[in-house]
This record gives sequence, structure tokens and C-alpha cells, in this order.
Amino acid sequence: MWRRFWLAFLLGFPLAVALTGLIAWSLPGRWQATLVPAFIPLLPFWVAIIACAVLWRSTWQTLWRLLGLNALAFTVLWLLKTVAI
Amino acid sequence: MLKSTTLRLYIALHSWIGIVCGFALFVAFYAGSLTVFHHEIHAWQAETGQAGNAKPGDGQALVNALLARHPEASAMFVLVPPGEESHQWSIMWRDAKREWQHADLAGLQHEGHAEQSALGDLVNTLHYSLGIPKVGTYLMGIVSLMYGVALVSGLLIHLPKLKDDLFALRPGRNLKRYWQDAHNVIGILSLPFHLIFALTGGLFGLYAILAFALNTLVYDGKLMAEIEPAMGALPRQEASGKPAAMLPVGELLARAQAAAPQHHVESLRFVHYGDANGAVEVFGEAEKTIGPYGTLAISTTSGQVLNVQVAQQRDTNHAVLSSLYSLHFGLFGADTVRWLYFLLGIAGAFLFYSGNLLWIESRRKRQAEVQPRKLRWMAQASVGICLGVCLGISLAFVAAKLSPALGWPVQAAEQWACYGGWLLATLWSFARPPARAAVELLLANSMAALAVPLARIVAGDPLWQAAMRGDGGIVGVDLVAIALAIGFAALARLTWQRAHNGQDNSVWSLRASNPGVAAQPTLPLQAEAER
Repeated sequence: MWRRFWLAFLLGFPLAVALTGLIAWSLPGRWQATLVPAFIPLLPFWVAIIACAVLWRSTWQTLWRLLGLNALAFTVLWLLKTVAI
Repeated sequence: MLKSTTLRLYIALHSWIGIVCGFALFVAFYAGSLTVFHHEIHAWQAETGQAGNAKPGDGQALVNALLARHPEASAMFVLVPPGEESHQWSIMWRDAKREWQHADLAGLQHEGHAEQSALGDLVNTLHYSLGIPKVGTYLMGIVSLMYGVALVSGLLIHLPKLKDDLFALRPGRNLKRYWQDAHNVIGILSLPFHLIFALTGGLFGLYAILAFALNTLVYDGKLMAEIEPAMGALPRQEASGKPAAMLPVGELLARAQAAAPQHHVESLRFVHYGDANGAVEVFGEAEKTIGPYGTLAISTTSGQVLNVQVAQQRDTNHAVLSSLYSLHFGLFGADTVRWLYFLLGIAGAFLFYSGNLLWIESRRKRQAEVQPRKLRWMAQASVGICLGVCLGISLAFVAAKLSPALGWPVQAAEQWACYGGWLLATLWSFARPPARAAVELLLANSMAALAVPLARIVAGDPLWQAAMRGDGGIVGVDLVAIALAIGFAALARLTWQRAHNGQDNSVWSLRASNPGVAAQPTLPLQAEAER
């Protein structure tokens, strides 16, 4: 469990940042106008990722899933930013 | 319904995170429950006999005195008008080591005048950083995150039987079940507040790391330039290098009042004082709003109001920030909410302490006279660290009042009393059997808490005089100390009874730890009841 926990702690952080970014760039108005609210989902996302990842079957599965989700989330974020800008 | 493997996994996660982070959370919650009354603690710590001696020009005189003695402070200093905390003006600035210094007018005008107490700041520092310089805040941020994981796992464990757990508090012979029930009831009842504390505590503690990550990965390096105006009111301006005449403090306060009449001023942060780009940020609170904290910025040269971010006149960023502070510190209501937060803080501290006791009890060898060493260490650490910090805080209160009479530097005395008392208590607990250490430290806590109002009597401003003056905050601090003294004494009595009359084969039994007395074998029915 603890290997999965630490993997989720480390790789869950960038994933949580990317998911927060998706929300931040989806909020209406100028991005500067919602900077403080954009911080709020980051920690709940991080906690949720850790709580889910410890349930996954193996360390390798956790590693690959988290890497895959990170890649996916950052790709979508990049697309969203491109559209928004 | 969760699968049994999932349930077991979450129970392990909940227990171990609780054990690893429980000590830090105990300190944060106990100190935090006191910090709810930081205005009252500031009033309590203020020099005795200063009531009613502030004069209208004292604010400006204090600024002039500061800059005459510490001209480098002109870059930034904070002026605090008379209010709930003190009857006179005070000022704060950062020294060359970037540590905050406090002074009042007498302290700056007269060489050798006793420095001001920083008791409220000390308790607050324990709350947000455990008193650990530099990395303490980040550590508490990580602890808050882990606390969030423990809350989620705890909620998932109890979700299927939430209603049953909420109404189950079964006193009786089975102490473990009773502690478990108490842990569950308090945890479930205060869950919404714990979620708030975990979220806001994590955001405040990890702010710098989160901002760095969002800046790099989400905002392409543009966040840092925008975050300061999003959280404060001052425009980003460097000193121009051109000297300029400054408007008097009274005039600046009048302009703030005119711009935001509902804003009760609590402090003024001056930047670039004496420079053409000088400005002041006026912090304060409004009533009847969920986010009372607000701020507005005024030019100290022209008096022009540069930015207003107070209740009903602020943007989304400032409204959300104010609400986060308000939710964390219980500022959104009157005294009832603050008392509720105080009780929640104490209940939270109990939650972490009871979690440690449950961890020990779950691993107790019921048939073994000598308990495993890890249980003994855990019990000693729980007693030493948790009761030690309570003792240290009480001793710091006593030092704040007695050190001026003894001619000791007050801030150093407070720190030595707090951290020294805490360390000694921890060392003491490891040198004694856990049950004996618990009784002794609870008694020491009771005496130290009782010494808090006594120290005020010695300092010449007893409780009844403060009551006659109408200083409710000071009276409240003394009464809470007396209540804590009674509470600690009652706990000492219960622990002593447990140690002498409770079941053997436990780290909490003094009979079992006495090598001259053989432990009584546990009867089968009794063992069944314990389970």
C-alpha cells in the first residue's frame, strides 16, 4: 500500500495541478480575475488521487495509470489554453 | 458497501496517517483553539496598567520614533491603532534578520524600556508551524494534506454505519469501545469543520509550493506578477528614490473611513514611507458578512484612494480569500462562533490523542505482563508531546507576566518557558512509566494553568480589577485558564484511578509496570468484555 501511496503523493501532485488548471481555464472572465478560487480544488484533487490510487492493484499499475492520467490531463490543458488564448 | 479488503486498507491508511501526523495536528489544534482568541490574548499580554493612556497624536509620534531609531524600517512597517488588543498604539517592523519586532511609544522613546510581549504570536506560530523556523509552515501544509486523506478514509470507513456511530457512546467496562465511540462521535459531528481546516490549512501552509506549481505548469510563468494584487490592495510599485512629505496618520485614517465607512480599521501597513511612491494598506473587518477581512490602499503623499477591497466593494479574488480566512479562523460570526471554534479545536486535539490511545489499545497484549516496547514508546510520546505542549503554552503565559518584574527580556522568557517546558515534559515522559508520567504531567498542567491568573495577580492586575474595568477579553483568558486547570486535574485523577484500579497488562497500569507486583491474570469473561 505504501508504495502506491507515495507514488500517488508524488505523481498525484502534478495531476492535481493539471486538473486544477483545467478548472482555472474553464472559469468565465479573465484568468486574473479568478486566481484565488483557482487554488481551491488543488488539494481536494490531490487527496482524492491518493485515496483512489491506494486501491489500485499493484505498484506498476499505479505508476502507469498516474503517468497516463498526467499525460492526458496536461494534453487537454494545453489544448484548452491554446483555445482560450 | 465497501469490500472488506478496501475497508481494511482504509483503516490501515487512516490509523497510520493519524499516528504519523497526530502529534503535529494535536499541537496545531490546541494552539489553534487558543489562537481563535488572539485579540484577547494580545489584550492579556499587554503591559499592565496602560489602560486609557493613548492620545490622538500617538500614532504619528510612534511612526516618527520608529523611523528616528530604525530608518531602515521605512521600507515596510505595520502600525496598530488602539482597539480590542491594546489601549495604545503599537508598531511592528522586520529587523535585519527579517524577524518581526514589536514596540510601543514608550519602548521606542525610552532606552531600556521593557520590550513588548509576543505571546499571541508565539501561540500562533505553534499553530501554523509548530515553532519550526522556515520549513515548519510547509511541514504543516503537508500534515494538512495527510489529514485530508485521513478524513476521507475515516469517512469511507464509517459511511456505511454513519447513523449508528453518531448515536453510539457506550460507557462501561469496555474502555476501548468507549474511546472508540468517543473518537467516532467527535469525528463525525465535527467533520464539516475538519474538512474546512484541512483544506484551508493546506492552502495556507503549501501556498508558496502551489503557487510555484500553478505558475509553471498552468499559467506559463504569468501568475507571480498577478497574485500580489489579487490578494492585497497595494499596487506593485518600487520606491522612486524621491523624498516626499507624508500625510499624517490621522488624515490617512479619515480618508479610509470616508472611502469605506463599514470598515473597522485594525492595522495599517506602510510601504516606502517618506518616498514619493509611499502608500498604506489599511486592514480591517466589517460586520455581518461571511468574509469580514478587507483592505484598502491609499497614497501616503496625495491621500488618493488607490484600491478598495472591503465587504460589498471587492472582486472575486478578495472575496474568496477573505472567506477562506474567515472559515479557518471562525470570523464569520459573533462570539458564539468563536467559542464553537475553540471547542472544536479542543475536541480536535482530543480526537488525535484518542486516536493514539486506540492505536495502543488495539495492539495491547492482553495476556502479557510486559507490553511491547513500541506501545510503551507510543504512550510516552503521546503523553510527553501532547501534554508537554499544553504545559509549555501555559508556562509561556506565566512568563509573559512575571518576566518584566524579574527584569528578564519578555519575548525570550516566553520562548524559553514554552519550548523548554515542552522539551522537559517530553524528556520526563520517556524517563517514567507512561501512566506515572501522564498523572504527573496532567498535574503539572493543572498547576501551570492555575498559575496563569495568579501571574496576573503578581503583576498587579488581578482578574477582578480587569472585570471592574470591563476588560472581558482578559477576564475570559483567566477564566479559560482556570477551567483548563480544573479539567487537567480531573484527567489526572481519572488517569491515577486507571493506573491503580484498571486492568493490568497495559501500559496505562502502574501495577503492571511495577516489577515487584505480579499482574493479575485476565479473566476470560473480562477479556471478552474488553473485546
